[in-house]
Amino acid sequence: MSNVAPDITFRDATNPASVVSLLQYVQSTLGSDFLPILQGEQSSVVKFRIYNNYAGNVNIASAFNVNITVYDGSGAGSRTALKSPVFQSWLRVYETGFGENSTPPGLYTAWAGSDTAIGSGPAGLNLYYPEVGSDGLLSNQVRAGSGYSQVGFIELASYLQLPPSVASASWNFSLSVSYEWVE
Amino acid sequence: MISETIRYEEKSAVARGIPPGSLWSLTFTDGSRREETDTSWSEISRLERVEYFGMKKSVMVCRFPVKHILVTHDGMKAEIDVPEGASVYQAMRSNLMVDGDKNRGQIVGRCLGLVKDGKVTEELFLNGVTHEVLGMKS
Repeated sequence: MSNVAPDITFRDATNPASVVSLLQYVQSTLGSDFLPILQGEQSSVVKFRIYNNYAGNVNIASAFNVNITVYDGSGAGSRTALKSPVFQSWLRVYETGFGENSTPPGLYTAWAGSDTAIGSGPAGLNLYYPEVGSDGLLSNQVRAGSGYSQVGFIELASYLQLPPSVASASWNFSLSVSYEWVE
Repeated sequence: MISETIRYEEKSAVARGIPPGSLWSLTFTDGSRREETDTSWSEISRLERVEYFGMKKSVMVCRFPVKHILVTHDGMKAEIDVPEGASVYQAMRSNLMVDGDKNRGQIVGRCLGLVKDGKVTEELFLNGVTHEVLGMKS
């Protein structure tokens, strides 16, 4: 039986697992949220999930060799790494869980992944490879469940670590996932 | 003939998510041939975890002995003569950005490669974004 292309979506890590169209990195303290991130400090952690086949369609291919990277922006900036968040590797990511099930959002299993800087800077990796797949194996794939007709996901936590000297500004960059598949 | 042992796919390649003009063609060691137009790669392959230039990679390796593979994509063409003892793989490569308006994976190219003794020895990538064929060989 052939499969059709994976249906990959970025979604919230909490119910109702809405599609994520923006990840906002800010600093929160007791009683005060959405503050700017100070020089040399960390942002609050933002969790998200990468789902395959959240809709539960049949015959959906697995996404394998999943990796994550950052670019300067979408559209014209989608292939450049010239802005500070990218070339200084501000973004840090670690895997926090995975799961598969016939019913969205899927059964959750926690995983303590390695904290990794992403970007083109000397401290970062251009590409971040999640350590476990949706099936819990040491293979960076997100399956549409075990039978190509269920939901699968991996969950990631992310935050920004700013260098000691950063100009006061609002910075935009894009987070991207790449994957391979066969029909 | 090897080609006659493989089930014919009912859905068209486009219906399976393959863009028009993107196609693989295999010539098996007995000279018989199959193409993506009537064959699903899932049907003829198995998942293997292999060494990939100092890393690990999952590839869908063809289960049958192949002599030659040709892949076309977005006006580009790449082909490999498969040496004895090596296996061949191919896959679509897609990309998705956190972007409200375009939250759907887009095909950015297609890769093909060789595996021998559990290691990738060659990989070609038909890059649909920059319109060039890139490659690595050990």
